[in-house]
Amino acid sequence: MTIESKEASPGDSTDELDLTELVNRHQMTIWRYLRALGCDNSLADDLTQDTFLEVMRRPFQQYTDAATASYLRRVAHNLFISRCRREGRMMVTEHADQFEAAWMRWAGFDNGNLALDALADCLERITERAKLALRLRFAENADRQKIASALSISEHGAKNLMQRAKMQLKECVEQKIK
Amino acid sequence: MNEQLSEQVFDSLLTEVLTGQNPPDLSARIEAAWMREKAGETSVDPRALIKAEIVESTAKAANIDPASTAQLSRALEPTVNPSAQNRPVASQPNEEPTISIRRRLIAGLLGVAAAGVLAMLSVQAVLTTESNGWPIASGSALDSEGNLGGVDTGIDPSGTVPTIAGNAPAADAAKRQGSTEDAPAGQKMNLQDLPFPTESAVASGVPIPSWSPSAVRVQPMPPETIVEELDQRLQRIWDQVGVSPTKALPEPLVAARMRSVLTGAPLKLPDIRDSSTSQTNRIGTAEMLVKTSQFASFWAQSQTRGWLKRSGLPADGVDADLLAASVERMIADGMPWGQVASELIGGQLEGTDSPTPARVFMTALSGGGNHRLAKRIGANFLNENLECIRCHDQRSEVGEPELQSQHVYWSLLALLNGIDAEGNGFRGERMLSDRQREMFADANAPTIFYELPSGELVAADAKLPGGVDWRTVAENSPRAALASWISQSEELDRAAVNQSWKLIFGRFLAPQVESLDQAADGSRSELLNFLATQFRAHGQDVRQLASWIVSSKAFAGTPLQVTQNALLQMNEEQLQQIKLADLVFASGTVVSESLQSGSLEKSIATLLESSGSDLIADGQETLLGQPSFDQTGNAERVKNGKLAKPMSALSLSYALHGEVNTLAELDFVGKLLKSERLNWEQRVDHIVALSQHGVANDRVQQLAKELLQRNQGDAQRALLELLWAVNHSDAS
Repeated sequence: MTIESKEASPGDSTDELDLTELVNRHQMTIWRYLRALGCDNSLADDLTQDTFLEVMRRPFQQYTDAATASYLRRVAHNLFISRCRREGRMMVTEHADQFEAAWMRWAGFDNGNLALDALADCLERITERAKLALRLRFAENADRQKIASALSISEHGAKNLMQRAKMQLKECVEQKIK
Repeated sequence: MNEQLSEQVFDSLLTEVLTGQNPPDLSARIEAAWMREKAGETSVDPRALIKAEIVESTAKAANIDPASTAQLSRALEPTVNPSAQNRPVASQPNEEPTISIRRRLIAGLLGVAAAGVLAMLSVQAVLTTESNGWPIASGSALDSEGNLGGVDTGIDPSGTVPTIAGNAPAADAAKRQGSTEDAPAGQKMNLQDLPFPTESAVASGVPIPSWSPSAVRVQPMPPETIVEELDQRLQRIWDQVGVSPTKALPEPLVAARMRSVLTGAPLKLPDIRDSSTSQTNRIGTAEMLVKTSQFASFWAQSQTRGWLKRSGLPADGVDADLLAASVERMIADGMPWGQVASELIGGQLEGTDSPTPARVFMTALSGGGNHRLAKRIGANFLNENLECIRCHDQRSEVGEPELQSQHVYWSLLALLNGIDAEGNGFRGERMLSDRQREMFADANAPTIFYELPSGELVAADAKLPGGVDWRTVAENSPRAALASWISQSEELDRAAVNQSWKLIFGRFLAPQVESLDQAADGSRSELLNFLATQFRAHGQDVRQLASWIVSSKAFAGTPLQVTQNALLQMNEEQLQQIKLADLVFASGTVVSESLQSGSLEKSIATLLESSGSDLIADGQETLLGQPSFDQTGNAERVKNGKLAKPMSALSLSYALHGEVNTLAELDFVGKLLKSERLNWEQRVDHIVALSQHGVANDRVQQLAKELLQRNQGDAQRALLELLWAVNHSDAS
């Protein structure tokens, strides 16, 4: 299946992209975007698939890679909202534009790899205790009480530690991806 | 920029780095799905169904010109790809196959607003693609000025607006191409919000929450029309279920019953001379009664007793009396019920000589994690048994979609963080504390962690249902925000109708846990919705609501009388019919209403006591001394059965509701038994949680175990009997 694409400047000859290439270029971004919206892994898989199928059903013209990515993210966002409404789940991100702005801040125009590499690098620079706290919170979904007891500090202290660590990480990442 | 969303994105990247969980390669899966779709493995796209319904109901509701309706319909359908006419659609296994009647109704009503705006807009602007930057069919070209060609592409049902060259937003493209000059500035319809199923289609593209006062308003009908409509809907329900209502009582008797139910006066049989069945008399009598001070007093007492039953304060103590007196004044003044709810949940806790209504309410119900408080708020003001979603998500066709997820429960609970009560209220030692101001002072409000059924821990922040940030509703306190949200919600109207119906009939009009009582529950919910919308249209005046209910055919029906002999002659099908008639209010007074004054423990204990002396070794008798309903038919039963002692009210009720179970009851208990995660105590918890006030304490658990023993380990039988006991005690 092919999709006609068109470069930004009119009058140029059309380059053809196939579905495979479209998926290869953008699936990572869409999956990450859906995870950022709040999908778990399996829902992100499903909605990523649905996004590309939706786009295949209604062929469109591509002008730039960034435009295509933005369009795909919008499709994914709407599919997510629709799924949440059907399941009666609470929604925090119905305003697509705001979420798009938040996404662009970190993932920019690429598929997020730049931010992730920067984040991995910046993680090496924070203290071991902060790293442990973040690992417990984000990788193991530990509650504050468990984190506090692992670090032998109060719950309030655990909360502060993680807040400070995240602030440092954000500053570090922003400097790297500028 | 929204910092919270930025945080959310950053957190997801952090999670990926820390877990090492990279995006999977879905290429093969996507391509295979596309190949299947092209090969014709299809199912109907429910989005097309929803759009068609919205257009149809919108046209009908707004009397839109059929020609423009057709254009609108075409506009909402994708016309980009000619092959779309016969295109296959990928099956989506998790989508609902049908759209609930209630959702269609809401979609239709809310679509009126969209229809009005759409009718004003130029259809040509809708269909002209260059104005909107919709995806263009392949083969179209830019013109020499770089504008998009005028190809008719319709509207993209994915609701997206791709950016065009240079990442210029579609809105800018629209301005450049100037084809929307017909639309007034600032009022351009953002069509990208339309195509996805939305219950709040409005011109600005910002969804209107159902609780917003700017939601669609309904005109108040005259009381006679409301009662007439109520009766017609009841008749349809009875026809649907296949039962006939009992004969209407003579009007003087109806009036006497009204007086008793509305004012608490003892039932006195009048001199029956006037056998007129004029509805106007009935309505007039009801309206007169609800304006009396006795009604306000009795109604307030009944409500207060319900709110405070099994709480931290005695339901008949000094504080309860103060609360009842406050509510009585509110009712007598015709205060909208939303305001009453707002006072109770969000009102001031300090500052006056005597306890405020909010103080009493919170002192009685908060504490112990505030689950009891959440449950009472849910049952009384949101028409939902929130106990269900404490532990797992719930799917319901007729329930509120915003109140069906576990996450919503815990987010709601988080709004009550900082409110706590301790001490023995029965000794006057109960103290309330409110630390919300300090806990929610900064942006990092306390988070609640809860456990999914899988055991995974999830965090829930304080949020109103629908994901609304409480700070946008009330800056100062989440409790006040919750009160405000509830007071303006449609759920409150439904709760008021259901609770009022229960005060009059002894049971809810439509069940709050639908899976248990499915006798025409869709139609009963529609009737509930109708009464709720009229309730709101009439200023949420509970007096008027009560007057409509007691003016109905259902209230005027002769209470069902079944003799012992007649009951024994009946087969199971006939008993089912009687039970169904009772469930849909076709048979006058609930047979077992006299039993509802007892506690749950007493109800179970009575069951156990009744069973002891009547058992016969050959197993021919049921636990309550009645012949078993075997397969051999009436004659056999009468021949074999021991027609022992006269049938007590307990036996009659049990015969109708305990031994003869509906499919819904069997299904519900069946699901509990099938679940491998639940042990016996948890199954008992589930059954008891169906009631408004029941608690599966140690005594109840012990009695439930005895029921199991009496039934020789037959768990299904024991749970069904427990269900009967719950429904026939003051816990329900």
